[in-house]
Amino acid sequence: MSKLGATAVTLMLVAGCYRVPDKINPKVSYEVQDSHFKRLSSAFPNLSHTERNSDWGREMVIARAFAEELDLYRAISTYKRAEILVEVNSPRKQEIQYDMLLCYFLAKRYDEAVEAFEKSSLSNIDQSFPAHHDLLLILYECYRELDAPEKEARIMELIEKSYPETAEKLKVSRAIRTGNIETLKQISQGFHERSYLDELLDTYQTQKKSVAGAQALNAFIPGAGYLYIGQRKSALTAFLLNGLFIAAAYQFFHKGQIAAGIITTGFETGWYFGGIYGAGEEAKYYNERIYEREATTVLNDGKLFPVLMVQHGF
Amino acid sequence: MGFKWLLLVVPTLLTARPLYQEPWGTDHDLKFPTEQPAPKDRSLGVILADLLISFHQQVISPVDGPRSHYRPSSSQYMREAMHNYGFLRGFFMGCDRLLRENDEKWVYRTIEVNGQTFKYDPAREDKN
Repeated sequence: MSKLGATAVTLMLVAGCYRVPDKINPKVSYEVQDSHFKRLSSAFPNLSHTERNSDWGREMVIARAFAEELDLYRAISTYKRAEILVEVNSPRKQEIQYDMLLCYFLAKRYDEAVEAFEKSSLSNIDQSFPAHHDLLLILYECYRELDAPEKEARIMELIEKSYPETAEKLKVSRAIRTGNIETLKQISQGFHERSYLDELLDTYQTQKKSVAGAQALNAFIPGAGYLYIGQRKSALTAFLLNGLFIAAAYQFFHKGQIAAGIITTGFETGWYFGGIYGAGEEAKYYNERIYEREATTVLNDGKLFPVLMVQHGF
Repeated sequence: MGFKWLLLVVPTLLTARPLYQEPWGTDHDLKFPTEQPAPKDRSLGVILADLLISFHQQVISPVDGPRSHYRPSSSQYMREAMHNYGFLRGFFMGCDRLLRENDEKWVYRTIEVNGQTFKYDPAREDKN
């Protein structure tokens, strides 16, 4: 019994040596449909008859048509032509620059969006700018994607000051997208009644697999960890290979063939520890995938992707 | 005569050479220096494993064609894992991948390569 206990403790330690952290790093993404943007009206007044007939006005009309179809590359090129042609002091110049920024954002070209913003005159705008809310939203998301925490925090301060509701939604959105379970629990406690966050957390907790459990199972019975996470073929392969190599190593040592025994043990070490490590990694990956599925639904249904919070189109 | 010729040609070649080096003109600002990544110090185990994997990829694998259900293939996965995480951990990761080498779809992301669908499983801790 004590021998068995010692073996169990050794195996637990072995599983612990290659412990995979039980922290998910999900990848939640979105696809914008052109129909969504066609429904949104422009934040700016319509072009007058004179403006439409000017050189830059014609370019702008074409650019908008491209942008509405999410033909963003062509839209940006045409907006640039309009920007070149428009008078320097025209109030439409900032509109053109903003539309270009929105195109870059929708194309997920975050670095180019920031570059376009820094080169433009949009850095001087205030709340009177018709697309002020959307511009802040775009900048927040760009800085978040580009991993510029200081600028992101600064934009968040501005959003909190001017648009507190949007700020709250962005915080929830960020917590969901990064898979920050602890923050999500804290936010959900702030709601008075059961919310979509509780649904998300409950579904995830019910379906998730224990990373440590998968590793421990594979340490006790090679392949059991894979079986636990639903990889039946891998489980069978792991069980058979470990069994065969353990038996072969035992036979080699038993018959005095030390060199062959050492080589076989070397391979068995790989199967055994690789299995423990892999079962943990695969459990983590499984958790990420089920979380991504649930989180994507919540983010789309609740319009919590920043791109879906944009209030105006082209 | 020969000496005079040398006196004329050699200094010209020596001084003119930098002028013929590209880039020149305004293009100079556009040409970024091509930085070669510094080769990593690899252990003997990784170097030997690299040789074995190359032998497998170039000699053994072509005999019956590619059979991996994953991209990168299992041999490439083990090579990359060793390069990223060292011999021992790379070896364990490679063994784990070989245990998982089957046609089960499970929850893997997939990629299309030449019209064929493969399970996507990069040799990184973060598989996203």
